[in-house]
Amino acid sequence: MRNQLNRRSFLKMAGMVTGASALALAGCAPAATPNTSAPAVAATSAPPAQQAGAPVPALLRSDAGEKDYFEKAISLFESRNPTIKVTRVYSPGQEPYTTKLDLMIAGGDPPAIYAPFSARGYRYYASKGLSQPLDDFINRDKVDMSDFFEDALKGCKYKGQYMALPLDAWPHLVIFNRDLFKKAGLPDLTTDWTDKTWDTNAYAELAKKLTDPATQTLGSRIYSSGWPAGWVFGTDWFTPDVYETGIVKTWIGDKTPQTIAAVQWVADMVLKDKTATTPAQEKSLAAANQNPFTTGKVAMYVGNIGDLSTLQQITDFDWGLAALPFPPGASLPRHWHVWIDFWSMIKGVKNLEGAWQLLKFMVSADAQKIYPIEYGPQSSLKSLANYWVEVQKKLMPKKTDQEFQTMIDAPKNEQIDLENWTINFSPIQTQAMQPMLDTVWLGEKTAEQAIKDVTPKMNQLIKDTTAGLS
Amino acid sequence: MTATTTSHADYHPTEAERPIWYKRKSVRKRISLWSNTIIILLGALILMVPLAWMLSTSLKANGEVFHLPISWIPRKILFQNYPDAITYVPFPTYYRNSLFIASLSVIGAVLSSSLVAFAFARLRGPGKNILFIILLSTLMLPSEVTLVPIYLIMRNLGWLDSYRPLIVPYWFGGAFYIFLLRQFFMTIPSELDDAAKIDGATFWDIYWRIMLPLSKPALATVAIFAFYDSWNDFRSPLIYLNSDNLLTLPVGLSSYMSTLGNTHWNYLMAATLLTLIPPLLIFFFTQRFFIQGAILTGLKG
Amino acid sequence: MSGTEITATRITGRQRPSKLLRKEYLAFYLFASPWLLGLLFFTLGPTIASFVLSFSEYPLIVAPTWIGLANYANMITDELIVQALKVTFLYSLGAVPLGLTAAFLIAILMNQGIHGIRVFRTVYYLPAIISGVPVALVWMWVLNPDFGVLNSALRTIGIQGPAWLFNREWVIPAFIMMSLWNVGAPMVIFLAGLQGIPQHLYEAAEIDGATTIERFFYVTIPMMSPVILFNLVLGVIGSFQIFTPAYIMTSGGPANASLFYGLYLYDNAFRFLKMGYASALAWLMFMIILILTLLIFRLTGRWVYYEGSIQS
Repeated sequence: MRNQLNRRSFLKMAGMVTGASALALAGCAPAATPNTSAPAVAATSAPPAQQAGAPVPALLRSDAGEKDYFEKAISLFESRNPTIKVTRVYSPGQEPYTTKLDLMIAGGDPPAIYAPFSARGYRYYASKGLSQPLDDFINRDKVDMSDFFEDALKGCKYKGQYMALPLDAWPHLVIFNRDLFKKAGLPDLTTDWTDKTWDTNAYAELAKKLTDPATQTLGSRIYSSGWPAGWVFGTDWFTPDVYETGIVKTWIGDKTPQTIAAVQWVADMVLKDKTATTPAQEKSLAAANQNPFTTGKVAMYVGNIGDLSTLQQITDFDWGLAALPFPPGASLPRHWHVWIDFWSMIKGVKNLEGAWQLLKFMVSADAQKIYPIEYGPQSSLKSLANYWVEVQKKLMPKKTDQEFQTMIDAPKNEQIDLENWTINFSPIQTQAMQPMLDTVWLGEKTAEQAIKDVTPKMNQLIKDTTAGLS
Repeated sequence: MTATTTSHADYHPTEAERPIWYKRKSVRKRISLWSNTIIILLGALILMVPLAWMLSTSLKANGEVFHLPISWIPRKILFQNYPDAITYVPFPTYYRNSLFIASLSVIGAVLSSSLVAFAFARLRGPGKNILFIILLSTLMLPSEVTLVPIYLIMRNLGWLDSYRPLIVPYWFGGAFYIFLLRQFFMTIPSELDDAAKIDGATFWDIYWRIMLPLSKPALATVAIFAFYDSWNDFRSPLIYLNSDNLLTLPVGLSSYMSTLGNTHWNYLMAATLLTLIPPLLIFFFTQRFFIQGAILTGLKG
Repeated sequence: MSGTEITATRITGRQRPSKLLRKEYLAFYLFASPWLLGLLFFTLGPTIASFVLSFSEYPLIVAPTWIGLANYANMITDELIVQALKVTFLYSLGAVPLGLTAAFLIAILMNQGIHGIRVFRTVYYLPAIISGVPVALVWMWVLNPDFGVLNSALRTIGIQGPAWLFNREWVIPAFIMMSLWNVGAPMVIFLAGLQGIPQHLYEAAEIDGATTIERFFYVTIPMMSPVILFNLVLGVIGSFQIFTPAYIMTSGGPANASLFYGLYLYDNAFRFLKMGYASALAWLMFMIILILTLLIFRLTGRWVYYEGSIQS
């Protein structure tokens, strides 16, 4: 009897508790953002009630010293626009950044400007109808779009509308150990991007000459252990519309012999010729892109402008910069990526005009001189190339003019990446692409076999991730 | 046999055992003392290798960190790295913030968890077993999926960009700590409770005057763990704090890192080693509670 | 609340819904109220929400849409879940017994008396308090196949070490090895437990002629059984939720050989923004851990001795 009483009263209490929390939950349901599932076509809906004086929240990355430059740029903006107050929200980069962004959106207080710098680009948010179209503002303020890199601008459009503006450029280059080259009696690599004798065959040959087991020296790092390995011979994994639309739609990896051959070429350098670092060796240093080249035991590799600040700290050997090699025989133009980030705006900000003014400023020459140029990478404006060289000359006084020229020529010879410009590449990369490539690097399968085997999964994933995208 | 008793009349059966027994035991004890020490020492040396690497890295120039061949002794020992690391990011601010949050969290955790553990260990209540299962269950659901609803609750409470979401949950007990204390409380004989009740003690008296004093190692353990949990929490400060001056150490440490290749490894290692100090100190000072056999007094066999 | 009436109940042994028992019930709820309130405000709602979300598609940045059992249906055909469960189970099978045994033995050795015990205790505890990211990075360097400390040491005794983190067979053992480095945390708990064993029990056993081994099995282990149970349960729960090292060091590779369930869940929740699917994954993990825990409690029920248990 007593037990029954207690059980009943407990159940009653449990019921009340559940009911109460269900009510609480209903009250806490994520605030539906405007235009949740409708595609973001022309902004036909009225913008949210504007508060001219409302602060403009900016979600900024706080990695390794970047904060100071953002701070400097934004303070400059505020001094020129005294009526606009900017709230700085800092977050570590990559996943924490996008999580913070997502939570701010889910909580109903989205940032006015953000720059993910990571795998999830603005197009993902655009596809959910959360990006603010910028065309009206661009036209109204007559922003000079011709100064931006064309390829990047192409990527900043979603369904025909501008939803982002490019903020920087991190091109790739070949970086080589001049001392090791001299020791092997080899001349410096070319800084000329039009030199067609410099192709992947030449690269592989040089790597063989530079590999010396006696001193544990390798000719090269693995050319790329990720999806760019498919680009080395000038071809791609998917049809080119992916860069326009941002949607990975059509898998052509198994039907493109040069893509298969490229992956095999990368693998052969590692496994057959043994002239390149293995992914195992890379893994232990790949956290935050620290690279084996700094050990002085690797003669050359495909590096990024971002590596420069690390390379500048090397004191044991002399290093140089060079152009990327062409596909074999220069039969096709190069297909390699330049990392470009962008500022974008989330719909639903309270001070739309203020947010636009900030965004416009941050991509302008005055702001880009501070970030990104003073921080390190190149700007997204063609006109600032020489300014960048001036800044870098102070940090690298020994570098020749030709080397600087090769650096500023690089973005023109490269194009936007798959990762942060697409909506659905991320799950495809993690679940199909990389595991497939891993089996090739492990020597378990040939490139042809691996690519053939992954094709059904690839098509399935594409189908799953594009459901609902138009 | 170096027996101390010589007279046959004094020869007591159990006493006679003692001289030999004693001698054997003392030798045995000394051997075991040293062999234990050696084993522990070997293990400690192995454990220290990664830490030694961190220390070595913290004193190197950044370009030297990944240089080959591996060097344990930096070419030039840069003690300067430590002051540099502290000024590279607002390290003192983060340190202060983390200390503040962790201290309040620890107090809350110890107080609230011991209360709840007492209930589970010593009191009867309807539905107690179900509640205990629920308690354990809360440890089993990965926190990623409750992250967003909890965030929204905090948002609706207006607690964003403040320390409240970081500290308050500790004051509502934590399943880990409650479970731990419950297990400990249940090793204390309930006869003590009965004796106290006969003397007219209330439940609160039993809790405050009997359980808590006898559970010092367990409470110290909870303090150590709660401090560590709060001190190293990366996710909550990340999602709840916006203002830079409120940030804590784990988030701050990530500012040394760059996703783009120019991580300051030496600063990062230096800063990491510096952040070890408070949890270590807490651990050190609670050591005095780990005294053998100080637990039960006044209990007749 | 007077004590004598409770004694009266005990003496008569009759089961009455006495006022005193109800007072004890009230006390139970009062003492447990901090946790109960926290449950109500912060835990119950979100837990129910995550359950509801497992039936929806929720990309976080837009409102969830109900899709019924679709997530669970997809789970059945998801081969990555099988892989994730396999990886996690293997890891757990290795890490938990090894970790607990090591922690226990070390605690015992330390408790028996060594020179410099306070220093050693701190040294062993130290690794457990270093936060995830820098440590993971240091480990990556230690496990470097060519230049890392571990393989260099193996080379001096003539063994060619494997590629550790980029080797299908050795990546999980590498993680198990790293988990042993954190032996300090359960060790501290075991130490605290050992302190709680009254000396007079050992003395009594010695007088009765028990050997060291017998004292260990008849005094130490039974008195430590609640603590052992605690560390076992939590060790299992913790090993199933491991995430940070894999996230930083291998991203689940190579070729998903280290795809821990916690990592797969995280990817779905925050990388692919499939929070609904992640919730379904979470509840599957929850059920698995719950069943395992209940099994552990059931199987060890008779072996766990509580000195101070009360009749319920």
